[in-house]
Amino acid sequence: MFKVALIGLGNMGELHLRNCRVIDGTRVNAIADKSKSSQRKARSYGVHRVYSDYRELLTKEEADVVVVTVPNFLHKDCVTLAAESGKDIFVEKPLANTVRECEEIKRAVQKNGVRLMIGHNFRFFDCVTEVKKLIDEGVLGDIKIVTFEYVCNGPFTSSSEPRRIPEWYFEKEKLGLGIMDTGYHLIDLQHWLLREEPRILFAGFDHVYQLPYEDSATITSMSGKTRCVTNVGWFCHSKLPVDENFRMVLHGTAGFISTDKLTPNPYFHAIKEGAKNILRRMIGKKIHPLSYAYWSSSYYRELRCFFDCLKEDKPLPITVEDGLKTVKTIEDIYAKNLKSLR
Amino acid sequence: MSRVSLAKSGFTSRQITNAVYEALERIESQISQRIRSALIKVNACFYWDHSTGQTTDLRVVSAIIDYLRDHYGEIDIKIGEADASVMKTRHVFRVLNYVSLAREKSVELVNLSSGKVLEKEVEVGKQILSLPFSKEIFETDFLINVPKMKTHILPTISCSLKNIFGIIAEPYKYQYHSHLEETIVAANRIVRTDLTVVDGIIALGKHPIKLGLVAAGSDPLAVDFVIARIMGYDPLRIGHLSLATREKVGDFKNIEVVGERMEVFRSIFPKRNVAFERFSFDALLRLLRLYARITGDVIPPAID
Repeated sequence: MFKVALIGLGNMGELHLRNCRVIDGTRVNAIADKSKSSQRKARSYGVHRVYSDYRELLTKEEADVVVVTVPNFLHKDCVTLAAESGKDIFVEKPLANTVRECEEIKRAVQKNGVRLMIGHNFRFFDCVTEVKKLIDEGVLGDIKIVTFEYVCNGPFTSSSEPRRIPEWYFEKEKLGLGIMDTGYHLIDLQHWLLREEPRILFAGFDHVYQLPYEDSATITSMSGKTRCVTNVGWFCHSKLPVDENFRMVLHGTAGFISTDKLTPNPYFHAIKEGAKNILRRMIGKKIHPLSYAYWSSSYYRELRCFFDCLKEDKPLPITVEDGLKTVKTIEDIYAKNLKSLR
Repeated sequence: MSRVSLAKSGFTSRQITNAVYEALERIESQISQRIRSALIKVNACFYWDHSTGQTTDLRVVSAIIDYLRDHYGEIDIKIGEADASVMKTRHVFRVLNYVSLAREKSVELVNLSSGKVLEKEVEVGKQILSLPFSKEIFETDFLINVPKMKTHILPTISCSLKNIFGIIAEPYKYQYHSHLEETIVAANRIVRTDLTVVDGIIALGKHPIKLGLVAAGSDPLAVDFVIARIMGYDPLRIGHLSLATREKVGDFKNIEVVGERMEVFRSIFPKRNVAFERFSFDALLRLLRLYARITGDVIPPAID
């Protein structure tokens, strides 16, 4: 049984907590969050060892694994300390806000011999894993052009239900990566699918809202001999978790594919997978958690994958190196090619 | 007689300004008075652009400021909004660019949830409701309500009366949702607006629509009656409007519509079946919770 300590009980923390509760062999024993309402929430989930300071949790708790879902600007301190306390770590993306912070984390992880996985949940979308398979099997031939798109509400949530936005989203220094906080997923996919370090040709940014950072970007880059265009934005109303305005279109010498074609209608998908789970329950089998929620199921699968790898002592699929490479590319985008689209 | 004026606007700043002037000039006899200060209550309910049909278009606000300056000279003008359950006024003013507008037009931005707050009591139906309001609201000579014309899952339409609900100083307004109709009416009985200018440039029905409407009137209930009809609803079947008629918030029996015909806008407004949406949303959530209870599955907090 993995004893899990969770640091940060915001939206993502709560989702990971719910997922931990249905993963066999894991038990969340302790939670740290400085917000009083989050502390109350932790107790409502039956977690009674609640700390307001994660440092205290890391000192006092005998956890095997720490799940870190604190705001981005706290990742470095929190993860480094967790590594020094000898605990394996699952950290929400981004690994950290800067390359320097990522390198500090890397040193701490290596020095203390702990394992760390980052929550790059886009790799766990069914449509993405299918595309990855097609590329690896050579079905599409040589990939020549790829478009990555993820234009969403960002922190502004869906049009149907506004949600409270954490204060740190309004502070550039704390958010760190700006719009590339979302673009991070696409850059990671570019690294992972095309297996080449992207060379940034152009990066243009724009403001739809008067935020202290850009809220949309278009980036063109080369991954080896593949041309990539990445569009990312935080201004589009999409009704999460049903509509996820994400897609990749890949054009290869032998064929093309769009993730839109691989994505089922979310309502039919929910009915189908939900019915299967009810049947499984009726005949005494285990359900497949969150399989009904097409996009959100990726969060369960990534966490499940993390614990399975720890249990079976297998290498983790997403490591410090992946986080470091992604943040490095984002720094390249900002440092070398910052242009306004206006 | 409550006069409601409708003006057709294009979508450029100049056309919007012209439409605002046109709408206001048609009701001028009902609003003219000597004033030294004005407070404009906008709808900036969340960090959403006006093009979504959710928040007031800055160009409408800008035109109203110009109109006030043209008619009343260099009066003190303030733009106000109050914090909401998940929105903070200090952020929304920056994100939606009110900060630049205020600088450009030399007006002040006020957070109606901060500063001195007065607790006001009013009887609605048989309930006595006590609501907090910023003192600023009662100190201004002229209170202008500038709502967005939109449908809303709870009160069906969100326009003049609902925008005054947004003026309540208490940020955690979810607490009023259990008795929303009474609270909207109570807020409107306490806070009397002198003028309402509806931003229907881009309105929200089943989806956002370029409606190009500016409506104005001095009686907010009359304005809401006209807007509800344009949206395709019977105003007397909308809870808070019906209650407002019983509570005599305004005059709904003698409405004179001047300017453009309602039909011009009604014919293109995409009517939203709010009752069905409310029902299906509730039903889906209940089903999901039942499913989760049967299977022990996870519900993402974003849905729950």
